[in-house]
Amino acid sequence: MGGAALVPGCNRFSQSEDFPAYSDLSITGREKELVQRLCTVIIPTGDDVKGASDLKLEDFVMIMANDCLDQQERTNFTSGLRALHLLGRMVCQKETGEFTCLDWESFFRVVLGMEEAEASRRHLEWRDIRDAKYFLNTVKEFTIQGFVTSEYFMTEIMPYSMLPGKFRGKVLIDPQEKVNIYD
Amino acid sequence: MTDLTIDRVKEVNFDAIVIGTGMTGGWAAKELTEKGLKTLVLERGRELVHVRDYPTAHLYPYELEHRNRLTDRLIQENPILSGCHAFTEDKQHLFVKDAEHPYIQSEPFSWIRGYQTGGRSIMWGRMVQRWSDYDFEGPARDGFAVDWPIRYKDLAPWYSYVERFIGVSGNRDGLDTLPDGEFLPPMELTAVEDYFRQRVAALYKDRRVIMGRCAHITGNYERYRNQGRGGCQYRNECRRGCPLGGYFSSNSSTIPWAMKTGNLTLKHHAVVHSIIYNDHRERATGVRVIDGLAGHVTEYFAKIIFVNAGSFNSNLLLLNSRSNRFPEGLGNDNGLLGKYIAFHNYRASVTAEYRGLPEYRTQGRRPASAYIPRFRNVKKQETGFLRGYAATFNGHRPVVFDRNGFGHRLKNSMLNPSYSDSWKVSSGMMGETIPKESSYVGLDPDQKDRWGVPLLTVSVSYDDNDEAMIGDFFEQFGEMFSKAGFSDIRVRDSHRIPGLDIHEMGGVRMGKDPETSLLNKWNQLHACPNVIVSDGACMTSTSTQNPSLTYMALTARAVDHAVNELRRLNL
Repeated sequence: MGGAALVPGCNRFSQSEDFPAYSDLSITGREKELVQRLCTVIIPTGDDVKGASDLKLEDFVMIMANDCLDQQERTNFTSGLRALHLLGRMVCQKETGEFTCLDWESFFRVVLGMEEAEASRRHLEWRDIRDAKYFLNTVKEFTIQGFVTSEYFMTEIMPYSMLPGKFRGKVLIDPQEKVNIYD
Repeated sequence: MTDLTIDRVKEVNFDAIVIGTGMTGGWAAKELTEKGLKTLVLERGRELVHVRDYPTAHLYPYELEHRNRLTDRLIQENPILSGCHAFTEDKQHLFVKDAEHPYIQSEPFSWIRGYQTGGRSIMWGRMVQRWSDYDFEGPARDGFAVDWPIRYKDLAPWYSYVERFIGVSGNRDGLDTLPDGEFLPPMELTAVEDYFRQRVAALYKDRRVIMGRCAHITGNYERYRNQGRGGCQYRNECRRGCPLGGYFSSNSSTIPWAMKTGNLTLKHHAVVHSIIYNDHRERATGVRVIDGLAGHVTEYFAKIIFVNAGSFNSNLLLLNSRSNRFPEGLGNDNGLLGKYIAFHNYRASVTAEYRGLPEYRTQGRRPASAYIPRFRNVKKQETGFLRGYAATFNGHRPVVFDRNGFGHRLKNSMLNPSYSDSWKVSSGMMGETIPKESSYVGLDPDQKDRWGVPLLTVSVSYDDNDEAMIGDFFEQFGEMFSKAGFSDIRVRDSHRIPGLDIHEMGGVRMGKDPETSLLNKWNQLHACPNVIVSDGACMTSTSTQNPSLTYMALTARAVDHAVNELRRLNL
């Protein structure tokens, strides 16, 4: 990771493409790629455990955003996504400034941590930053949710019992035992 | 031309008609058919067969596209229904959508309905606490509504009768405020609930924390196998419909039981327009039914008619049953039909944390909650407000992970969660509300629904007594939580509008005097005794207990009486 080549939005916007599953968001192919990239940054592949890209969590994120956010939230989501694109371009073009090219994770951290005063100092629209933060946080929450409620996670990582068969109200915790969020 | 063939006559003539298949309609159907009466049961909604029609019962969480969250479209299309906690992605098909059957809210009121076999008994909360005489004597002692025409001793054997059939899990707690019943083994309290139980018992003479009595079969028993029902497996997905029949619903229990007698005729999409009253014979003779799909009208006839359409729909039906004798609605000589509506006040809750018992967790998914019976104004008036509240109590040990950051660190956190430092506890108020003449349902003079029935107008709201009770609940539970060593105690008033408790009651209240009530002590209309109303519409007051058990016991008792009266040729 690291380097200008990885920063989002360096290329031109592509034409709006048709994604029927989340048509209310009017997302382009490149924009979807950014969501995909972001999901991967949030939950990377590697070690022995699958990550966002293996589980295609970007689809879950987009369906949730499309179907479950209200109209205002959807607008903020899409604006945030576009603002993030734009910020990425600015980062690329500003190679000598204090806002240098970053890897994805650091770039997202910069955006999430930015306050209004700093945005103003950098001549950035605060509304763009605010929407970008909303977008990032929303994608992150849906990615986390998608991960821990994926079939993979609920069968192979922390099995979910459809038929517990009993309820016990006071079970001594075994410190050696791996904690299962569905137990 | 009138079709007078014998078959046709048989098709429309029955011994008894039951309107509704929900909690009480199912019981009326079971009791009447078991007693040998040819019974027509009318359901306005679609057919929903136990097991076969539970499409989401076996779905894993990841098989629900939105992980059980409502879509924005559903919320926008259903501003009333989407306020209901049980209306979720997996259960959306069981609820009546806002546009399907509109009504008029003179005051904000959420009317939550389920039009299908079993009605709302599929999605109910399954808490079944008996009333005591402290509840039945409330109106007379405190001077509101009218005196109940019955006392605990009248209903006690019927509580037992119903409990044995539906299966009720609970402890024999020996409380005079909440009489014991016919219980199957109780579900366990969690460690923190048991701790709170002990603390409250030590600190307060008048307060007890118990495991809630719930309509679940705990264990395996032949008498439930005979109903095709097995023991609860602690899935806590009850409201999707339980393929095991682990909890009671009309679908899993009373309706199939009635079907087995051979005496049941069950019709769906049967919207009852009105009850037919014969001025000459001075009795109700049948019902006018609109085919919900095709729209044509059929009349059915019977000796007795049970109105179990669900509180508000029972009111609506009686109000719409006009005749020369009853121009203001069937049985409505005193003008009180539709009035004295009440509900349960579920607005208030208190949450906190407990840092003790760090070595324990829970296992499985318990489909019920602990319960704190009413302790306010029980034996005498002791506060500035009338009556009181019961409360739920729940304590669990959350599993948490650090959601900060991105990447491998975040992923590692998710893969290695831990038990939270503290238990989370919460209590929800279940407050009695006072039935008042100004709380009513009525018919809109102009607007009609798609079946040609006037729209229902609902005018019910909170009053000062409810507000004062919320304040007291916050004080008392704040103190109890604090004395138990709980921390981070927070109170919350959800300000949710009436109705979301789904405990609407009254309008056709029971009473001793035909001048001030609609029903006698056997749930018969004073002025038309072969019409019996035994759902929530009959309630004179609400007390604090979840009401279905009482409705069911009243229904079984009412059937017994009505059939005896029929046999004595008194009806």
